[in-house]
Amino acid sequence: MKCYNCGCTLSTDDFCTACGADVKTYKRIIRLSNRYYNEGLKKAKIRDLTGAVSSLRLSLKCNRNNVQARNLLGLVLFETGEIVPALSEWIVSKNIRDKKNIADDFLSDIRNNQAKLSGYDTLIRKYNQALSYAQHDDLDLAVIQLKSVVAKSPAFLRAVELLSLIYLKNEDWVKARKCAERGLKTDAGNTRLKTYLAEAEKRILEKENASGRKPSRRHKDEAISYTSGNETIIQPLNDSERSGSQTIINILIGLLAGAALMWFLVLPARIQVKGNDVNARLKEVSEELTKKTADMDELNERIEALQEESKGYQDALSEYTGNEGVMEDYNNLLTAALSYINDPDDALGAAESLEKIKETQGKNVSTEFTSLYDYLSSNVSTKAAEQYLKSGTEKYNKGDYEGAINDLTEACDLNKESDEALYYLAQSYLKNDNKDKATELFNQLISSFPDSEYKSKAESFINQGEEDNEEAVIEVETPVPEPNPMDQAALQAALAAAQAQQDAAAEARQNAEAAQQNADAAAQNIGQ
Amino acid sequence: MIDFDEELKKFHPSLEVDDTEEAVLSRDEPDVLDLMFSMLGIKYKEKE
Repeated sequence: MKCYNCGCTLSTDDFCTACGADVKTYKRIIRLSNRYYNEGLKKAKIRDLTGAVSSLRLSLKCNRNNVQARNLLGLVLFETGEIVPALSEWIVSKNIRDKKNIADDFLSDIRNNQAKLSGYDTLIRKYNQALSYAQHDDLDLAVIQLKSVVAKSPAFLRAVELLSLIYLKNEDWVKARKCAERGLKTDAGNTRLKTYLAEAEKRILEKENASGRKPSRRHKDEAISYTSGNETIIQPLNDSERSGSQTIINILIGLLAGAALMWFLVLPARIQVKGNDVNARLKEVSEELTKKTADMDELNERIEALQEESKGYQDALSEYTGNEGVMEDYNNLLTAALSYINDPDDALGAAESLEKIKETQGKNVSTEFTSLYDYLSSNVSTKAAEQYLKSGTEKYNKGDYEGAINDLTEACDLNKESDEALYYLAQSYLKNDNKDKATELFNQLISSFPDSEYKSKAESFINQGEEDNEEAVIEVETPVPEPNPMDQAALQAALAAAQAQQDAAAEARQNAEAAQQNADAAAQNIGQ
Repeated sequence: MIDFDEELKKFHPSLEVDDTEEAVLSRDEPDVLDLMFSMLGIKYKEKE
């Protein structure tokens, strides 16, 4: 406490030790102000806001510079919805003490939240309008406005009081009671609301006594009391009133909660189970697919192996049955042998057959085949050569030079020692206007047969160009020795062996064909 | 029994936010100390 005169801190004495001013009364007034402030603070703590406002106003009446009382007053007024009075108290407080003043914080909060301040202003305007409606007897409109205000700001006591009063006017005793009770939660010491509440309860009791029913439930924290005859029955309550709309809302909330429970708890678990099933099935199918793929690879390998085998059989078969096959060789050899056996003089037919064997080179044949072939070759070749020579010269003499060339060429191939065949072959070319070939053959004759009687004629042509226009004359045929019985027997045996070999080859061919058919059928089945 | 009209008269319009300045400026109620000092003819410091 400071001295009002000099500003020094006062002691416990009734005078200022610095300037000597009488401070007794001053101190008492200050103490009184502080006492009222303390009272106001106690009442504010127990929610008796009306009482707190009275005490704090008294405190300020004693000492208007009591900043603490002023700040608390502003706070209590703000709580009851009196925004502007609260702001004015804080502004005055800040004016009294500029620094270290909590009013600064209150004002900053409001200044920083302009939207909320604007909201408060709207509510105040609505209340003023509702009051105007009530004063003009438009109670319904007033109720609508006040309901809106009270819903947004239940602590706006003026609006709550006015609404409660209008309900009492409209004889809505229950609503009036409810409204008053709600207001008393904010300000327990509000005498106006207490009056309205008492009035509403009284009216409700009168009404229920008149109808003879039990009183309706009041407040969940309170008991109901009613008279029955000479007794007063007090019954505690459990639940508060529930309206139809609240029931529907509760049902909806329950449904939403159930749906949320299903969504977040049950559904994920079921989805996971289904997912696991799907994964297991997928795994199963994958394994099956892998197995099928492996089987298919194996079958493809088998198909390839069978196709190779079939190809092998095909090759083996062609060796037997083809134009260059063994079977063909045997046929030709047998044909030659039969031709020779039937008519040993018909060397041309046998020679032609033997020539075919030579073309196919006689591969994969037995020793009997080779023996028979050699025998026939040795006995048939010479005779065939002579027959070709005879035939060729006959054609030469007749002027069929082309035919002569063919036969004489065969004669030369079969008997390379025949200078006669070579000479008449050259002559045939010369007569056929193929001088170059003729010259070549003449030179060959001169070089290969130096002792030949046709050498001089060849030289005459080459050196001087003299042609020989005489007819061809050939020498007497050389007798072919008759095959002896032993040779004949050997021939027959070789023929039989060749026949047997051919039969074996035919059987082998059949087996090869059957094997190939089996291989083809197996490959086809696997491919399907 | 509550008289509605009488009760209604006790209700006054609430000050709006725009009226704050006017509310602050219109405050000039003297306190007990002011009265005492004016009676004693003493002038003291208002601000702390």
